[in-house]
Amino acid sequence: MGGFYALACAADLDATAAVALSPQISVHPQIAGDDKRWMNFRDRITSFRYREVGKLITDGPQYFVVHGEMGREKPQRDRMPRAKNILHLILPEVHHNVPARLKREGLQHDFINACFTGDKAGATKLLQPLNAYKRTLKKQPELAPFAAPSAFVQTTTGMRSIDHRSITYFFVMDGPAFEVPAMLLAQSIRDTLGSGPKIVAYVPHEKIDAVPRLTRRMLDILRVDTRGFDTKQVDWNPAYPHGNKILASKEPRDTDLSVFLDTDVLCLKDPDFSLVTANTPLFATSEGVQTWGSNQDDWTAVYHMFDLPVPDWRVRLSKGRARIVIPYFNAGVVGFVENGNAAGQRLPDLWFDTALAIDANPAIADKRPWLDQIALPVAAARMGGRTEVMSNLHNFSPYRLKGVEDIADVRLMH
Amino acid sequence: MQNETLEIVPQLRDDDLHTWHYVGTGDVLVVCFSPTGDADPQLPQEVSFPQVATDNGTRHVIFISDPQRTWLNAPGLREKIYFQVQKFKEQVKATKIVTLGH
Repeated sequence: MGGFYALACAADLDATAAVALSPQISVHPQIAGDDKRWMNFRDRITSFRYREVGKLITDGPQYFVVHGEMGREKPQRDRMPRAKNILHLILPEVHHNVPARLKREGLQHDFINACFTGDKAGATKLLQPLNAYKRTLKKQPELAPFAAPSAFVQTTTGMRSIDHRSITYFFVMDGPAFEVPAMLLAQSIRDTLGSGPKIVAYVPHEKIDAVPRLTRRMLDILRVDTRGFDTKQVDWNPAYPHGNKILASKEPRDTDLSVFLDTDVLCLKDPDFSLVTANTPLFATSEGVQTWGSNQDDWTAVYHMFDLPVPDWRVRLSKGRARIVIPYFNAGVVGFVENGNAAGQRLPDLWFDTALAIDANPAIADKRPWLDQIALPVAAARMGGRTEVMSNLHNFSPYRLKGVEDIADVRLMH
Repeated sequence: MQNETLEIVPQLRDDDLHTWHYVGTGDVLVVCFSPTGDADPQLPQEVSFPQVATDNGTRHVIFISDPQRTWLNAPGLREKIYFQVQKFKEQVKATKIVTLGH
């Protein structure tokens, strides 16, 4: 487990070198289910934030990895990612006891010191007396995940991988009342996440010239890109200001991921969307209470409009009796992959299209103000793939807070 | 293996994270992670590689263990490790970090 951590945390800590001796690459049952070791601990993990260490490896540190050649290590060793900054050495006649073997041969100290200085040639040479060699795909072919869900394999064919650092957080700033919350939101993102993410404030085209100079200046300082968006492309009837988030979502962006935030959200910790894959059309948090669709027939009618069955999976509402319901999300934090699905469809476009169709259907009742939330899971179903239901910490509402909950882990306060 | 000659001082003892500090000299901070350890989850993990990580007592080291053995999946653990390391880094004025683990 220490080797896993040495790899997983190196980039976070801005380490120059990471030395991992017999590391696990994954303990997730779908990735390394063929490795039966440490099951007394692994079985207790009920929710995985990190399925495999490869997602946390970056091109920053120099990684030094040593695995034993014996078969027991195969489920981990042969799933080790390959990259220019990963030196992966294999020790013959060794299984998980790499440190003990190095120590017995009097090489442990010098080898680790060489790694710490980034000396790849020196580290490799030191292990030559043990017949260590660099991993090759001829000797240790890449091992596929133990049990990848078939839907994942099918629908991600041809999709590129996601750079989770390539992300835009955006919100709508429609009028003076939203300017101060917008600045607080942007400030909280910068405080928490630094200069990495892009931030965009969307203002209706017809109002963008009215944004005060001071507000613009503040947003500039926070490196917020203020952009216009077209509210005239739809004539919601009755009026529907919530629809602005759908219209802003439709705007083009050049990052891999985008996350819409209501303007009354604050970013308190890194939200960490590393579970999102190219096959995740939507990532969002379940709604607190069932504001619409408590009757399943309502959902059946909506899904049937698009020739879709009601999904066979459920979400747990975050408040009240925490009922388990047909997928229904709060639309205050909505994330999606910009590149869309295998057919090139973007979630925001289908969200808009779905909302328009539902709004035009007189058989669907009581749509205001929940139209965006009704349309969202349906749009995700039209996209295909697997919706990532994020924890309550990713869209935490202090509403109905009883005063005893621990909010230390809250990432996005809404 | 706890080392009797090195002054490795226990620090954090939270349910989800244990740390120990060793104050050495120089500008390198080693972040040394404990292995899975004993099959009995009730038994505590210990620091690993004390002599090597400290380079026989010269390098700064923060030893870190995940007593619940969650492989970083405990809520907030990744951020907590980052915070603990940064705090010790500032304390010893280290300019370079390396990680180590089995």
